[in-house]
Amino acid sequence: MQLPIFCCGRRYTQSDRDSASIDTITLKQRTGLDLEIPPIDKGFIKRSIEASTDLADTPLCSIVNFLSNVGKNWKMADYPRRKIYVNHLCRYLGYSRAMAENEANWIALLLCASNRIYDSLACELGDWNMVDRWICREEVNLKALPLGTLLHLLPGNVPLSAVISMIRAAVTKNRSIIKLSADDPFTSSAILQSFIEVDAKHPVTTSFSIGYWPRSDSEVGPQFAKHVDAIIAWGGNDLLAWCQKHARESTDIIKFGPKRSLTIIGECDDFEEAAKRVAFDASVYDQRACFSTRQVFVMDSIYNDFKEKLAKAMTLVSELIPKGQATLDELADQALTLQQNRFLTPELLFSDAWSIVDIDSRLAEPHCLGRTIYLQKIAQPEAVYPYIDKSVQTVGIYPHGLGERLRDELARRGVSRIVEVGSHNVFRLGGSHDGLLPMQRLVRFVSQEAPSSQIIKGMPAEIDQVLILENDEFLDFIP
Amino acid sequence: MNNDLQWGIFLLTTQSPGLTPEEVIRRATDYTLYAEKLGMNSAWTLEHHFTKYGLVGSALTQAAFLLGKTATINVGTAINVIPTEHPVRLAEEVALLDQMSGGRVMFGIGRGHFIKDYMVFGVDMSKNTEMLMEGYELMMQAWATGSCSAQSEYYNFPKVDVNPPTYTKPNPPVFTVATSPETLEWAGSKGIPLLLTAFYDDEELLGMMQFYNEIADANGHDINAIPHVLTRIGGAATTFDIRAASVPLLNWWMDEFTGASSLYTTQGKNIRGYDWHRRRREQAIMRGEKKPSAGSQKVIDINPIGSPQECIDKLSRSMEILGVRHAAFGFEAVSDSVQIVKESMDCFNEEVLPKITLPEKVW
Repeated sequence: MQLPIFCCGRRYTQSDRDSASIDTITLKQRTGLDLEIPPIDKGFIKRSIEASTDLADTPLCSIVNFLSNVGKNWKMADYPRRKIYVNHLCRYLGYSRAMAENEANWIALLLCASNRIYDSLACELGDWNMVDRWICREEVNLKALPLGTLLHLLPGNVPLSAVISMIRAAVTKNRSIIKLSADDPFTSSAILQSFIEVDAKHPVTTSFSIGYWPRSDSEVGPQFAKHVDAIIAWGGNDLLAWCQKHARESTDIIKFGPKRSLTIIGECDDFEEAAKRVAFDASVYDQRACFSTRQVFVMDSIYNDFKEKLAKAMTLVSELIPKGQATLDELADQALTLQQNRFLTPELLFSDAWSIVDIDSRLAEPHCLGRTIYLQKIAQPEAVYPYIDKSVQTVGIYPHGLGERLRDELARRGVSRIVEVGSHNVFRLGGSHDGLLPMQRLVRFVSQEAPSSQIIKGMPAEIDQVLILENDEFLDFIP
Repeated sequence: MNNDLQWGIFLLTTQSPGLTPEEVIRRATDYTLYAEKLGMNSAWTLEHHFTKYGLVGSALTQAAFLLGKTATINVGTAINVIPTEHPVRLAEEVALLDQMSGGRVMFGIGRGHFIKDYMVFGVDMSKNTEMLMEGYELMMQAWATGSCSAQSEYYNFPKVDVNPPTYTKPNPPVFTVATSPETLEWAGSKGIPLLLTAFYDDEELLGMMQFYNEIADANGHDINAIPHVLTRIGGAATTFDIRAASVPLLNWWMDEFTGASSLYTTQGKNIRGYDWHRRRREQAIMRGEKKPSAGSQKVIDINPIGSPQECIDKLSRSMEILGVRHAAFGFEAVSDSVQIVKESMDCFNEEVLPKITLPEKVW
């Protein structure tokens, strides 16, 4: 199948290209199927960098309403674009249908969540109005302007990241150039196509360009990196190094992932509830997401009962969200893990869809994924501290109240989020993302400051610096 | 002219203010004869009832007359509303026309969305999807075997012979206008070629086609061999701004269409099977297009209306994106002047279509 690329919200066709003949790039998928995508040419680069857009002058309400209008289509189970997307995730990325449908549901939810978008901006910027107009704050009028053009280097493990990245860019009124991940070349294109279907001329639509280039390419990526105002890099240290090598010094690099996540189960009576929630956190995205739990620390006193319930819960969740297709390498890795632990684990629990491995005093990394939970006994919740550092994104805690006892030390050691078990994938309003409030990083604050005639708090008179110097009164004016 | 490209005319038969019914009907025949003279491959008749949006209540009757008046052009219906007619009678009529025209008839089918039609003809509109599907099966059965029978909620009769057999084997070409996901899914499963609507832009149509293709492919149809037809409003002029000139008529046309459909009124709100249509209307309102006529600008933007070069650019892109090789144009929608309509047809023939290159690849 041939994938499309888009320049400034418009499908980039053969007749748009600089030259008539092209060699497409092959993207090998985990299912063994190949996809073809046309390369980006000079015309695409020039147009996507130089094109003007009205997005910066578009009122936030128009942007949010547009996203909601698109989201309502995604909310319809028989929306053709949604059906195609779900089929592609299943056929090419190996998702189970339930996983893919869940992904489409999240796309609908995120796009439709108008109030949440306003509230997120308010949380991160202080006032959502600031992206539209000057807001009086203390002694200044403050406005949040877009950075300009963002380069999104998207991940392939969590399709939803594409939606989040696109929404953040749109509501902060930035233009976007998106590099698709070879592991998920569908999500952002599907969303942009749904934008085009609703309104091809909307400034949000025309603000997005989407394409692909291989990491080995030395022309296209560096060209973009050199011209954009910020790079949103979803990936590891080598990606960060690439950004630092090719971006201008003044270019902001906003990095997300890769991270690991874990769970702490303290003393509790309702093992069954706790187990169900852990099972969910360990099953979404088959543990490929940063927030997926891979290692679960359980209080000694409830360990065996919890383990038993967890096994049942893993089966239940695997029926609700069947596991996706693994690659041969992943399967081999998972089989090896099971074989190794057969000798180490008192009672190894596993099925085709999941496994629970008991471990003592070691970090469950590298992890073989595939819904493998490393379960570890602890005498007290504080015993998890040695396993915490800046590579930990999310720590799920059950019961939730235990979080208050642990949060200071967890935060000090470097975690990004502390959540209730069962909510690893839900980013609550106002929450941080890998240590950042991301939308704050996507705007440039400009202040128009009060004139000298405006007497400031604690100051008895108007500021006339020359007069103050002449009369040597500086100290007199210090409140 | 690109030899691989097929083109045709849509006979809108709209009675816009200032035209008499006689003029409208006479012009439709006149345009068809002119289309044949220009070498067009197809002419399409439309079925509408109780509205000046379209004066032709029987698309097949008009098609029969036009087939009789012409010698080479194919004439199709776009479409017959299957649930409001008996499918076996339709199968007979189409087969008869196919025989009489020597295989020049094409048959478009659908379920329509004009509430009044269903009220007057006494058919439950909320059942029309099932009736369309069953009606299609009956007609195909009749053409394939020469007989058919039915035992269902909608059609119930013993086996009967259906005459005459079709001239075209196994049956005359059947098309459908499918816009709702449910109908698209059905059409894809049967491999029925689509008449791609002029009200949708390329990207929307592509979304529909991709969805259709997935289903068609899964059902064993060769998706590259399905002869979809792109329908577009066409208007080309070199001496005046045809885009601006077309606005008043398009405004009237769009309002008349929406009013006649009644699908977006309280009455239409609860009719099953039209959620997608209502969602599209909601989309338009959220875009700020409160009156249907506000969508005229979108119609102008997505259709080849403008200078010859604008028409070439737009049509080339549509053909490239959608990968279709047959386009039919409603030339009447941009003007009620015969002279302007014929100039547009000439312009398409001489300046636009020869410069359309059909792509090898669909993007």
